[in-house]
Amino acid sequence: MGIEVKNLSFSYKKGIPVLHDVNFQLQSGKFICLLGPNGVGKSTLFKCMLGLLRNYTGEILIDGENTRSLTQKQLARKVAYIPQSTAPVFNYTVADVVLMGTTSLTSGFSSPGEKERAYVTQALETLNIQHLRDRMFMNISGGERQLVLVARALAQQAGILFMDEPTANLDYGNQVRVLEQVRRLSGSGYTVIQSTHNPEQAFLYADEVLAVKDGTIAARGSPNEVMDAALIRELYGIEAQVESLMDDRMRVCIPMSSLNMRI
Amino acid sequence: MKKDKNKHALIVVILVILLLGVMLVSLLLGRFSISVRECLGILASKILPVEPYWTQVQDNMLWLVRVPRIGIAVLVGMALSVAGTSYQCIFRNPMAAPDILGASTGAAFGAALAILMGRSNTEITAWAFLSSIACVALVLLCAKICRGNPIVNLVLAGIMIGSLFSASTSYLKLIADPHNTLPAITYWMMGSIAGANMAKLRYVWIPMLIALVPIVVLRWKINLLTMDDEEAKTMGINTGRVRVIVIICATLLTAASVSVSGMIGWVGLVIPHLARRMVGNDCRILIPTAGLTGGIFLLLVDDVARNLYTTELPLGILTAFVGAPFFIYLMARKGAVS
Repeated sequence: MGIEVKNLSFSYKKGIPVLHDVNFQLQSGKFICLLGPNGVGKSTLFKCMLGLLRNYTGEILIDGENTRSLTQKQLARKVAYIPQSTAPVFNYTVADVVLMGTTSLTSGFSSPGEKERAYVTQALETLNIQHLRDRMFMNISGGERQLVLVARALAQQAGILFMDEPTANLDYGNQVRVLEQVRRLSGSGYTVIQSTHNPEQAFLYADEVLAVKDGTIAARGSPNEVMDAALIRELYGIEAQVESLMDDRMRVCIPMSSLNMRI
Repeated sequence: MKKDKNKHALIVVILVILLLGVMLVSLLLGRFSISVRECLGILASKILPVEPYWTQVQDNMLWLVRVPRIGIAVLVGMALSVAGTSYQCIFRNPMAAPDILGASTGAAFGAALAILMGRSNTEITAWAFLSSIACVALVLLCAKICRGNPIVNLVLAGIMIGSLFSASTSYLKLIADPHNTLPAITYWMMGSIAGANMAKLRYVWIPMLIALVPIVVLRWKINLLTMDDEEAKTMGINTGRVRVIVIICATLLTAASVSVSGMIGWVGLVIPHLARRMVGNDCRILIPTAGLTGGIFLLLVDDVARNLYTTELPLGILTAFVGAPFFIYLMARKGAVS
C-alpha cells in the first residue's frame, strides 16, 4: 500500500528531460515534504502523479494500481490535489466549493445528493470549520480559504493528499494553523505529500523528506537524517548551519551568510 | 443548505408561474381585441369540445399570430440566457455573451446572403442557422490549430473569424439593392420576431430542446469548469469533453435563436447576471433561473415592441435600451458583477 514510483522520466520537449530516473516508495499514513529549488520538477512530479501529465515513461503505482490505466475519475478517488490558492471567477458558498470535491463520487450525469452532502459536513467538522459553511468562498480569509480547499480534498474521499506549497500565500499564524490541521490528518491515516520551500516546515511536520534536484531524487529519509548543511548547499546553493534546539526536539536552518552580514 | 434548496425551489416555482402569467396576458395584448373569456375558450377548444362563441378571425389571430410569436419570444429569451450563462462559466469570463464564438455574426452573414439571393423567409432562417454553425465550427477548428491556452485561443479565434464574417456581411450590404434587399438585411440584423409563425416555432423548438438537455444535465459539472482546469481534472472531471459538449449545445441554442429572431443583443449578457444576483453562481439553480428569467424578459420586451407604437419596433434596439442601463445598475449595486 502507498505510492511507488519506478523509473519515472518526463520531458515537455524532446531531449530535455524535466524528470529522469525518479524512484521512490512512500508508505501510506505519512507526512512527506518535497523539498527543492524552483524549476527542478516538483510540480511536474505532482502533475504526473495526479494524472494531469500522462505521457511519461516509467510507472506510478498507487495502492498497487498503475495510474496510467486509471481514468481521471478513478484516480480522483485515490488522490486529491490542494492548490496553492484558487480564485474562481464566480463566487460560490464554502459548502458548494467543498461539494465540488465529491463530483467523482457521483455517477455520470447526476449532481451530488444526500450522501455527498454528508461528506461535506464531515469534512468541515474534521477541520473544525463548520461555521464557514454558508459564507462566500472569496469573502473569507486566505487561511480559511486554504482550509476549505483541504476540506474539499477530504470530501473527495481520497486517501492521498497532494499539496503544492499550500502555505506560500499565508501569514505566519495561518501557516501554522493550516499545517497543524494537515499534520493531524496524516496522523489519522491520510498520506500527505506537500512541496515546500521552508526547511523548518520539514523539521516540524514531516515524517519523511524527498529532496529533488535536477529532475531526480537527491536525498530521501527522515528530516533529521537527511537535512544537513550539505543538502541545503546542494539544493539551494546556500551556506547554512543546522542547529538543534530544545534537546533536539526541533531543528532549524540558519543561513550563515545572512547571519555574518549582521556582524 | 437545506433551507437554501427550498428557497431555490420556491424561486423556480414563482418564475414558472410568472412566465405563464405573462404569456397569458401577452395573448390578450394587441391591436386586435380578444377578451379573456374568448382567449381561454379558443385555447380550451384545442383539447375540449367547446361550442365557439368567438369569431374565426379571432381564432386565427390567436393561433397563427400571437401563440407562435409568444412561443418564439419565450424560447429565444430562454435559449440566449442559458447560452450566455454557460459561456460565462466555461470561459471563466463574466463578459462572455452568446455571440462570443461568432454564432450571431455567422448567422447574420447567412441571412444576408439568403436575402440577397431572394430566398423565402423559411430559407433565410435555414441559411442563418447553417451559417452560424459553420462560423463556430471554423472558430473551434482555428482554436484547435493554435498553440497555448485553449480558452484564450477560443475567444481570440471567435473575434477573428467573427470579424471576417461581419466584413463579408458588410460587403453583401454594399452590393445589395438599396431599395429592397439592403433594408431587409438591415432590418433582419436589428433583431425582430415580427415574422414569427407556426412553422418557425415548430422548427426552432427541436434544436433548442436537443441543446438544452445536455446543459441542464451537466449543470453541476459546469460549476467545476469555473475553477482552474487542472484543479477540475483532479476532482475527476473530463474538462475537455464537458467543455466541448457545452460549447456545442450553447452554440446550437444561439444559432437556433438568431435564425428566427435576428440579432438580439444584451439578453444573453444581462439576464445571466441578473440571475446570478437572484440565486448565486451555483449552476444547478442558476441555469434554470436564467432560462426562465430570460423567457419572461424577452416576452415583456416584445410586448412593448409590438404595442408601444402603431409600427413595430425592432426588438434588438429595445433590448439594448433596456439592457445596457440595467447592466450599469447591476454593476453599480453593492458588489462586483461576479
